[in-house]
Amino acid sequence: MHPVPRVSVVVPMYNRERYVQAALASVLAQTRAADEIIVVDDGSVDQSCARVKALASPIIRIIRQENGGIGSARNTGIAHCTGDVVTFVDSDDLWEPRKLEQQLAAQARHPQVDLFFGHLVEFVDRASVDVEAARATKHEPRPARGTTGAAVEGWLALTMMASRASLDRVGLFSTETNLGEFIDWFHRARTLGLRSHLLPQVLARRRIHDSNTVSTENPADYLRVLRRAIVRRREAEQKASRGRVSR
Amino acid sequence: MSTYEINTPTVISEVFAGETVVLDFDTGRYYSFNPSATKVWDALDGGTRVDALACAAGVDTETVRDFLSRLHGEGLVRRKDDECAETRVAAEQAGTRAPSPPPAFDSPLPAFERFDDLENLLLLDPIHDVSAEGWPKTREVAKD
Repeated sequence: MHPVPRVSVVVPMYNRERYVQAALASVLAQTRAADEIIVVDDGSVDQSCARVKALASPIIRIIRQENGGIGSARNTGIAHCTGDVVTFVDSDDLWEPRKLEQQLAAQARHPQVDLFFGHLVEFVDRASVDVEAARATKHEPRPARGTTGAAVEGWLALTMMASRASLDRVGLFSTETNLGEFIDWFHRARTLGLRSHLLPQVLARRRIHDSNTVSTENPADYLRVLRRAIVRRREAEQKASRGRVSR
Repeated sequence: MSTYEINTPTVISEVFAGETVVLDFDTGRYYSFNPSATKVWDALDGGTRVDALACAAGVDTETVRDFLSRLHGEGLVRRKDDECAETRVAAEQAGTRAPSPPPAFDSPLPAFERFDDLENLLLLDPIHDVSAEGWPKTREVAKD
């Protein structure tokens, strides 16, 4: 690893004109600046790109592609970034100001670790949500753990910092599902034996708003991801078993 | 005789080549059901009685009862039309024999494996940007 690592930020974006400036502002306000921000516009049909350009930041690049889903957008970002470490922020979420500084410090202390995560808090974006109306439907926006404001372990791309070598080893995000793509990626990383470290600090804030969707809307994707995880685990066990026999 | 039903909507499942994968969104645990358990689970989808479930899976009713007891313990099923489920279950368990040990996953009897290695991720993930306003469902539509 280079002594002063270059940091890339990948931002997948689809129709996020309301939120993307805040997301990018939280990256630009880092106490340790990122070296490049790759915004992958996944076929937005609103003013998302104009909002990004309006920031006029020399470190932001916009890559446009036809709509392919969040996994595809992240993969495009990974293909275009040049950093030694790669991070992610979804275009409706926010980083805490010291996110990069704290993770890079952790990386310096624990060079043997491959993936760094941190805690996050969720907040309901009341400006976007008619909470009373939403409550009357099953679409009520809700934090994943029902604990808005409380820090939870952020096992998401949103808090992850990965070395480029780790990303290359695990491979790209699955584009076969629209849900659970990070679970699939992380399970592959763990199966390969990559080491993770969860920082105790809150590194990000996840916005709960009217276009988050409760998973039961489209649950089959999760089951496909989990089926792959089960098969992967069995294959790893069989491989380990064969290894024991051959010795 | 008791009837059970799947604990929807927090429990979802799908069959892959004779093996059912089950996810409980409340706990973040997921399960693999062997082919015999898959037959029981399929029949359970209609809220079928225990004796009919046994018939569907080709095993005896005590085996199915033990299996359902384990599913109930995991929170994957609930008693149907039971206004005081916890009390009745406790009474039934107190007055009956202890359930037999769970059969091996590769046995012909209904059995499941439980996984909790992705619990933290699954409990976090349900809020995700996939909707008409967020990430579009083009892929899902294309499949249909």
